[in-house]
Amino acid sequence: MKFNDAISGALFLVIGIFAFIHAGSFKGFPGVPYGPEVFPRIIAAMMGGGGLLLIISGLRSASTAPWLELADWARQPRSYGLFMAIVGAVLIYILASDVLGFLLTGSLILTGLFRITRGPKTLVSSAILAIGITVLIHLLFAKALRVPLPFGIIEHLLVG
Amino acid sequence: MEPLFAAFDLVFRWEIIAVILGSCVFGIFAGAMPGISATVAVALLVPITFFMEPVAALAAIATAVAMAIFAGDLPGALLRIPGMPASAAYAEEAHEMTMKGQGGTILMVSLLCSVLGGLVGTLALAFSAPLLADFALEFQYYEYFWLACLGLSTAALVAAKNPVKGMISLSIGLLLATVGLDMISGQPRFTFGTLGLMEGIHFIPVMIGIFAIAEVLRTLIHPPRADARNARVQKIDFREAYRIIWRYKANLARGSLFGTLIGALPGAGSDIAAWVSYGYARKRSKTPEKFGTGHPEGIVAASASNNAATSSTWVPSLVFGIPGDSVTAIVIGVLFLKGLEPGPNVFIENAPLVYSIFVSFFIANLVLIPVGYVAIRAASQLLKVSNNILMPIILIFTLVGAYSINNSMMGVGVALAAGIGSFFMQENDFPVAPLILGMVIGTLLEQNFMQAMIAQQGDLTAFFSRPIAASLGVVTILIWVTPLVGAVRRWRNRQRAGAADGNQNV
Amino acid sequence: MISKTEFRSGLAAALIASAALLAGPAAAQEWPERPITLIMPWGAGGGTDTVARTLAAAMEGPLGQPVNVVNRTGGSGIIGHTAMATAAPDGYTIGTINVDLSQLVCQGLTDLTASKFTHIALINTEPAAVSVSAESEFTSLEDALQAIRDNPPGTYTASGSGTGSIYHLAWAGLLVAADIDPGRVIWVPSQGGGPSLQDAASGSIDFVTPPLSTAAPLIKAGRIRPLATMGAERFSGLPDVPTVNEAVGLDWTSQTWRMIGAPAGLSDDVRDKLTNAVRTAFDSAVFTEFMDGRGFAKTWMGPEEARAFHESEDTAICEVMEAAGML
Repeated sequence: MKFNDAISGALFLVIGIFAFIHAGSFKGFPGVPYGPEVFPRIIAAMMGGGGLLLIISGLRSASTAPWLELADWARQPRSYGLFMAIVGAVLIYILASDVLGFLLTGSLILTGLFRITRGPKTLVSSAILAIGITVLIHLLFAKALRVPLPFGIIEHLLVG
Repeated sequence: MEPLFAAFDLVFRWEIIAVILGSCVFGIFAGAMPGISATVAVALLVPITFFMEPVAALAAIATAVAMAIFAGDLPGALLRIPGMPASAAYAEEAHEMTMKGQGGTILMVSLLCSVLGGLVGTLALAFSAPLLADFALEFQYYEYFWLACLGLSTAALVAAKNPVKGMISLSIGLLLATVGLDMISGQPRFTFGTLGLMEGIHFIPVMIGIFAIAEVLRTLIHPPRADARNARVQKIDFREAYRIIWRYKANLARGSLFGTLIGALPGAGSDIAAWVSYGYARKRSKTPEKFGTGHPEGIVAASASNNAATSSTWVPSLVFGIPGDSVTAIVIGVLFLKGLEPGPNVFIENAPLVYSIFVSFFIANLVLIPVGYVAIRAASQLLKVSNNILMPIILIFTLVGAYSINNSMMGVGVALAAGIGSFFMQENDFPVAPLILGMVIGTLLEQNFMQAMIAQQGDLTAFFSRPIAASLGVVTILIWVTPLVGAVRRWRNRQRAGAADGNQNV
Repeated sequence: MISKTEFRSGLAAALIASAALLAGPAAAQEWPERPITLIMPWGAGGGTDTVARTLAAAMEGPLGQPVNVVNRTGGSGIIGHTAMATAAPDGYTIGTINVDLSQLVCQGLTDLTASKFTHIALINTEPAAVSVSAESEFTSLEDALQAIRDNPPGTYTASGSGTGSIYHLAWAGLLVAADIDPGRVIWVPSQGGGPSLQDAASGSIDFVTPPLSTAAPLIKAGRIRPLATMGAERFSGLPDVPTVNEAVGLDWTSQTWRMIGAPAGLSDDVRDKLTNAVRTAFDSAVFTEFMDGRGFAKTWMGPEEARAFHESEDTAICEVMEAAGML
């Protein structure tokens, strides 16, 4: 999914300009002559300048380079499904794991992803694999490394 | 010599050797897992070290760190997902070699270079620690500023194909590094009033997103590469490994030297050492165009330098009690706990103990070879697992890793955003390495720049007023300007040629 | 040197501890029945972090449960403190409370005043100090203050930590107490006490304010010269260094402090158990050895006293910041 350079250039020009202006609102510390806006503004100018150069080169080549070029994967509907599934899995983890806990959320997400990547006929083996891996990760991180993982329903049942 | 023999007696006992072996295995695990940094690994060791005698405690820490820095290369080379920031500089390069079926060999190269670099760093620590410490004290804001710029120049080199896109990528990284509470003013920046952003954007979740999540997306969505079949079997060709190291021995030497010097500077460390060495290897290479296509030259330099840096980071801690990074900050705590007060006299008053640290560093580096070899063999098996199973598992590991950096969902969110962003950046030919570099170096660059500006009240000549600063500055400016001019010229020629072609077609 | 048998029994203890950890918690009827999380608002390896980790390890014995130190960094400590203050007050989430929080309250960056916490104990106070490079022209605080008065503003620089941090406040407060406008000395922010000492030793900074315990290795290395400590008493590790009061007759003290706390609303019963566990850990040999080794002062205040102290700091720090023109 390749956009013409003019489009990505415009995006970064806008971000650069926004960051430059927004940096003006940073409060300094009384008596310090060089405030928190100095450095971000230098970088924002650099980004905006780069965006400008990209716009110029993109417009020059506009006759040969299309505005949007679809790679092979982007022509297959299955790709979008996979993309959304992966992004969705992370979002579900972010939203649900603090309530459901790591063990439940992890198993569910993995089962779902395996089912998508391996095909619908493998649900049982996918679920077993998913639960096994989730428990393994839990043992490695929460028990051996003492890294806290989201604590939820199953964890409460296990601990009491 | 007497203290050295006493030191050998202190180290060569089954308890110490057992501790070193145990820490080795622990270090591999921590290093290979994106999200578990060397600092976390060492912090986890601290309560255990209470029960150990001083030599064992320090040997455990030294071994775990050396091993972790190498182990970061394992997922970097095999899966294009570096386990440690210090491996990020050459993960793509090493992965390209894996795609050629040379992953086992290049990991062996990086293992041996890690060991050699680590040994050079240890020798420097043992014989020139006070000298190195004096060198480190010469570094003021101006020198650090130029060092940071020198590190950034790697971005200009890596992105030589498209300097404008590289510059934009770099500026994204530098801007992301400013999010959160500013150290200079204590005021929030780019937080838009949210508590989550006040936390700042941690570098490791970004790295996890850019490499791991984007890789999962790419692998599952893209049709397999034509050469993917080669990557299934990774042979370890020892002869080829030795040949590579011998051919690039100059890079090995330079990498070890850079690593030792940069590691000795408090606040710099192995991440920056790896980037600078990789960039410089490219700069000095006779075949710079091969970089990025699976070329071992830069890997030799960078993997030697990050391990050299882990040894020399102990210099300022031992000599002045100033920690070089968060790992050695923990080390200082352990030193005090064991009744070893850091200072220049530590080399005289506690000679056997200090030398036994060096000896255990040596042993740790040597033990790395067999343990690392087994780890390479074992990890290579991962490539035999079908992507349909491997990729979801990697995804769940990355979620756990991104969460555990700061124990918050913020990290997972950052990783997701970085993953999607980096996926689209790479679709549009934006290199992501400069972004990573911007995040690694951004804070060092900004803080020293601002500190210098405040201390000198905006007098820019101060950046050239001291000998080390002036020479670093001149080198940096030369490195920045030469390829940039050349690249811009080539780019414009190509544009013109392209435009001419276009006209002819019409 | 620890003997072999001690080492072996230590190793055995560590093994048993980790085995117990892996085996999971036994069925217990009352608090604590699962591991306790200690939220640490600063990164692994810093001063507060090592103190907290040592204390946490020593608390596991009396509590019979692991105490996991969890770093929640960012926002000058606001993130970690907020995470702790907003957790459920069930005794399973505790954390450290640092002096830095009071400043952030004064600057309006957070509303976490003393009332947002249940105080368990204060465990440490650390006085700031004034030090210079060993090559500096100054050998006494009196000369230094006089030189600041005599020379035009901007002649000298000082550092110690970030702008508006406790070390900055200690310095500005000292100048205000000496009747000097703090603006006469440029405050150059640094990443912390250690880095600022390095800046002083390399000659880029004239005055630095980290505690003597942090500066001790560099002082003994002959790189840093201490002028005075801002404690009420001299520092036991360097008994020759006078207090500010002894050096220039000013009644100015400034210190960092570290407390263990929990979210507001913790039941008294659980709080007392926690205070007892902290006290046992505080008195333990490991913790004492660690604190002595680092030159950290062990200071104890119980829950009531710690709360009153925290409240008084909330107001006192705002007053000093106001007087120094830092707000």
